[in-house]
Amino acid sequence: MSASPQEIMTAKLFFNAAFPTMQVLLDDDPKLHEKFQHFRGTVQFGAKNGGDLLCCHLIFHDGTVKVVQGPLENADLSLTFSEVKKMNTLLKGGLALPSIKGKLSMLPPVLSVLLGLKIMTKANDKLKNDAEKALKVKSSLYMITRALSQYNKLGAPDMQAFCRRQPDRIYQFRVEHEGDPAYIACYFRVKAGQSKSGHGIYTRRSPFVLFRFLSIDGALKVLGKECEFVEGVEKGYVETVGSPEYACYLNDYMALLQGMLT
Amino acid sequence: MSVVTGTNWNAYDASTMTAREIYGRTLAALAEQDDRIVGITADLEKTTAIKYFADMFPDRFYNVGIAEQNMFGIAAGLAKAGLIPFASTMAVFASLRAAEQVRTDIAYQNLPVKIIATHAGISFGHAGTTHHCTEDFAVMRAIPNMTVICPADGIETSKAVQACVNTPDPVYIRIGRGFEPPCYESDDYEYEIGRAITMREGTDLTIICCGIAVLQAINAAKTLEESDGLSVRVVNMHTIKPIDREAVLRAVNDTRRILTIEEHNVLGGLGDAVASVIAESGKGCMFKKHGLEDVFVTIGYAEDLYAHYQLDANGIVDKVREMMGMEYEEDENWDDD
Repeated sequence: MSASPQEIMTAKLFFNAAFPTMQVLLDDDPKLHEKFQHFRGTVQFGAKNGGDLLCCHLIFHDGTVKVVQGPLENADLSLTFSEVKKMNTLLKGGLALPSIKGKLSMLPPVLSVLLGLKIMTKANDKLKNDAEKALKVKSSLYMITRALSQYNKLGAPDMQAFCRRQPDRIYQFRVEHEGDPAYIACYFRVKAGQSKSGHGIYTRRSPFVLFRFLSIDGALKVLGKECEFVEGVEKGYVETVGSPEYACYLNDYMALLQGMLT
Repeated sequence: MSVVTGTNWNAYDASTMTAREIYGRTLAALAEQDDRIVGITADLEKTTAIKYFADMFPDRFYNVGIAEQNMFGIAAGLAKAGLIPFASTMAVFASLRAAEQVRTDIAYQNLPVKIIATHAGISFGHAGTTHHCTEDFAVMRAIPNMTVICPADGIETSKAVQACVNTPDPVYIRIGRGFEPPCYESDDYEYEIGRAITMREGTDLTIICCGIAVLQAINAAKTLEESDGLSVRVVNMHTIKPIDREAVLRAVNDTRRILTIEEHNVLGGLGDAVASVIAESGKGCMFKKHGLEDVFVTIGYAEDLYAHYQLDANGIVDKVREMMGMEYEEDENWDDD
């Protein structure tokens, strides 16, 4: 049975937006950093969809991970779900089991980084320390900006219309904290239909809209849906500088994508 | 934050108040000290925020209904009787509909009527062309005796209102719809009608601007310094007439490149005023006027229009790069990080 277009879009967003966020975990999570420092291998991850296979593959190489769309012949490890819906269920934090082929010794580290992505949905009060809080905020923002761009590139008609209508514009996200300002910062750039998500602070243009979270805790409350965005503005967790109308439009897309991916 | 001189509110509040609101409150505070001040509007009591004055001094406030030409005629009469009328309406009505009354009833007699023109430029963009006002500098500059002021934000609006009370001439103060972000963090700076303020020093190029363009120019200058290593001076020419000739000539001498930015038709406004000073000086200078290129502006939200007409920081960055002969960025890699 083929998956619905909505399920397929969700799966592709996981592959294109959530999986690349693994690199943040490999860089910033001390345990995963240690574990993957000298790890090499390829992993195919996907689900059957009618007669096809909807999948991507991950290439791990000494602390880096590259996500490539599509299958890989002779992957070291393959995780294949019987249907797309089940794969999405697992990726959203539910229970579903794939068939597993290949080097089983790779399974524990691969599962550890896959499960590491769940930090983005972890309840704020379960976060152990400031480093974990920062990691959740950073990975969530990286994922959401990448999801915004991918949603356009994957052909969502309303998002394409939104991007097509705009000249070169930067939607910048920044979280105030004691360290390097660029550490928890990312942006979404659009230009006449094209889009790009980027890390850090875009310096070649001023942001059309700046979403400035005033603390990591404030960002957690807004991103963790403890309060609505507008409420977050009222309570001083976040401020927007620039076009209020477009801040609202983008916030609507962020909420939509967050709903699809969590 | 210091307390704004002579008023009963402080600049801290300015961050949460619109320029119109600051105007209304400043006027009310000034009126407590000077009973010659009277307020008058043409059915825009709330819209122009003169209601703060009206609430405190109902017997010194006159709403003439939707009759701007009458309003300015009455304001002239009040001024003739020794009062200092503050006449508030939208800029388009003050400068176009009532131009004859402003010219003949007020300016011809050199009466101290203070015209507070709100919703100027394209700040009320979504209200349509009838409510856009991109010709007022040109009209008001050409009227003898008239002083023309365009503050950068709410704090400067307060400064301008205070400064104009005791001038013997008519004054036209142009402000926006009021949702523009603040430019100044405090009122702790010297303000004098006719004296420009250097917001940022620079040696490569000078941006001379007014109104909402000041903050955008400052932001553009920061971007240009960080990205292109350019040193851009930003001069807040809050008084369009009389223009600060010294500030213009200093820019000619120091930077040799001048870009004017205004939320106004490029004909007859700040750019032309600056151009006249440069031309009369006989000194060579690379010069460009940037504003609305003699068009009726399309309809839309102000922020969109500022971006569309390149009056936002990014547009100004592009204009400066054009003037400096620099290539636009070649960052056409659209791969996601």
